[in-house]
Amino acid sequence: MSVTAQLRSWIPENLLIETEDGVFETTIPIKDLETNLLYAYEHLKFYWLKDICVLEHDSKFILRYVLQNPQCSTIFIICSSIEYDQEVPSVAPIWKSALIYEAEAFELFGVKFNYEIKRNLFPNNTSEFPLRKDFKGFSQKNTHEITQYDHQMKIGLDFPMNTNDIFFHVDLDNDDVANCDLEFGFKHFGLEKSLENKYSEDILNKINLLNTSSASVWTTAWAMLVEQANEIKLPEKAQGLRMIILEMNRIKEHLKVLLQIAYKTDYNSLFNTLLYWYNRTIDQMESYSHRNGISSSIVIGGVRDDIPMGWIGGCLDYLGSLEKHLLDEYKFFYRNSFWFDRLQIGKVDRDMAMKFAVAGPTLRSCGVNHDHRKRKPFYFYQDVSFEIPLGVNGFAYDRFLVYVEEIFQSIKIITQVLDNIPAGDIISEDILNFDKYKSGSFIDDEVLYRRSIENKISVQNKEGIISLEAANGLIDIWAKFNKNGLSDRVKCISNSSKLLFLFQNSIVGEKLEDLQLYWLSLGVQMSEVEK
Amino acid sequence: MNSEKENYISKIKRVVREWASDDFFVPTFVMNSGCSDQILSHLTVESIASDSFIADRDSTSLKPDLLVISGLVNYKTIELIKAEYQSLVGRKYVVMIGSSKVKMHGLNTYNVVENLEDYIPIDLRIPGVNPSRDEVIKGLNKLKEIRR
Repeated sequence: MSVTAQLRSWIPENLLIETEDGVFETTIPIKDLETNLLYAYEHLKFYWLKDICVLEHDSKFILRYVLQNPQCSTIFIICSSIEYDQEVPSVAPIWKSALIYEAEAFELFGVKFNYEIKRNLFPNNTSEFPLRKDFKGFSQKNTHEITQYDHQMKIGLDFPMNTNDIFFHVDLDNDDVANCDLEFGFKHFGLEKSLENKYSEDILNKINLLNTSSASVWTTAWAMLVEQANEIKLPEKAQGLRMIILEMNRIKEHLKVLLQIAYKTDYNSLFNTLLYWYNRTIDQMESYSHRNGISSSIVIGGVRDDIPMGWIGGCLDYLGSLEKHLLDEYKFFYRNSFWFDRLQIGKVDRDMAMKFAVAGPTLRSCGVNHDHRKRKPFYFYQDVSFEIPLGVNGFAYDRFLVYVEEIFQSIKIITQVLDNIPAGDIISEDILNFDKYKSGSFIDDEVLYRRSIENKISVQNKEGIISLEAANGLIDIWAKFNKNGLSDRVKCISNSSKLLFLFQNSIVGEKLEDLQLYWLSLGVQMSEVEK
Repeated sequence: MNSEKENYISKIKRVVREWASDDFFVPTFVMNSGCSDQILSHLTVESIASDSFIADRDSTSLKPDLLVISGLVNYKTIELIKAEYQSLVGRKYVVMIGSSKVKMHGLNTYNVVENLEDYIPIDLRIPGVNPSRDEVIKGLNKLKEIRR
């Protein structure tokens, strides 16, 4: 019996809402919440808690528990409304990933849970909650006290390729980590608050701040969500170009993680090779759109830039050389005993990864075959041939190999798309045919184009959820729009926050000297965690 | 004899430090922006050593005298920046790289420090979203002039 059939037989028809994109939703009273969630976990195999999203509605909070069955990718949302000061039972005993979202709900909305939550973003004496509708700013000066510990490690500020800011406060037991406390919150800029009451096009221009080094991934996800809600069909060429942009981003991000690992292990020849190819990849991306990683080439309904003359040949040359050089290095370090021993650290347990709902290369390095591009293919992913590389034991060594193999697979995908790239428009006809601004040259006119999008492509009275396989794992965006086409709430769910909490919970017993290497091998983006 | 030797070594160290500090800035970084990778690659020893701007921090025992800040700063990061500023030695220099993105992106500013000068003095601003290597070098040349 399939999961959807089981859901239909479990919940009465009048209480179960099924959306067009196969998402199920139901509302239950708070007193039944725990039992229902446990039933969904045990009997329907919803092993992933993807999100606990809080909404404020009629002087009440609505908690939305977003569950996913990792095998069939079915999403099931359980909603429950509570009073402002009502205490909510934690679901962390069922899903470890609840720790992340309960902490967020507490700090940003003031939702109380039945255990004490440590504040990371704001000082302990804060009494205002920024994502509440009545929030007008902090009444008192927002001053933090950063605690100093004996064994404190600062990651990011000194290292030339990593801009994450996080402190590890570590208790030691004979050089082994006995306990670890994390200090973060250095990149919280209130992005989710800024995304409220905005048109979809405005959100497109802001959402890239979540991960400025690969902005196109978040903007692609947002554009997909709006296109799905408006039933905009993308031209084939735009679909191909988006695939190329996504895969180029994957190559760049993976090279960055490999670069960090090579730097920390003092593997200089590999570091130099990777640094060269990292810069070459950025150059190659800039030569397509003449934009750096911060700006995105994605617009709603297509892509902003067409392929420049001669770019395809140059790109194929670049991909061929990258594959050759990386393969040369790969032959050397694959099965190299020194390299193998050095990276036998940071084991991620498969069950632990599932409990934290971790996806992406970290999950695949434990041997779990999960890739959203294969599970729910979009664009031409079902037409191109590529493999999903898997690790065995979940060590940093396995992750390293998965990153390298995924670069080879991305090269394979881009090459196939470039070989078969169709001719035609790069922006959907639904937008081009917008009567008021229909003219031969309006695409060049940024202002007219922007206005046409603002007026036409707004999502009214709808909500939607979209998932996308980014370089470091699965990202999801959930959004709800009001009748004026303005966003009520946009929730961005990244894999980085899950990786961060997984790291904190699996660190005990690791050597202190290996901590940085373990952290870097996970590829966490702190801007995605803190938002 | 032992104390004489120590004095001699410390004297040499002082002379070397004085000599070096004429030619080099020893930087410390608080980089929060998306283009920090590129900015840092402009500032690394490989790209700028030939111009004698910045000593590699790993290869020197000199304490930093230059604080380089880029990207948005929130109320938690400002505590780090203040601590880094206090740890600078001698005449303290602060360079801010990149444009302020707060207004550009229309961010809600409940957790963004809008005016960094309220907290620490800034000697130089190098504008641009991901300024080029030439712009960074030009800015640091200007900083050298300020020091002279």
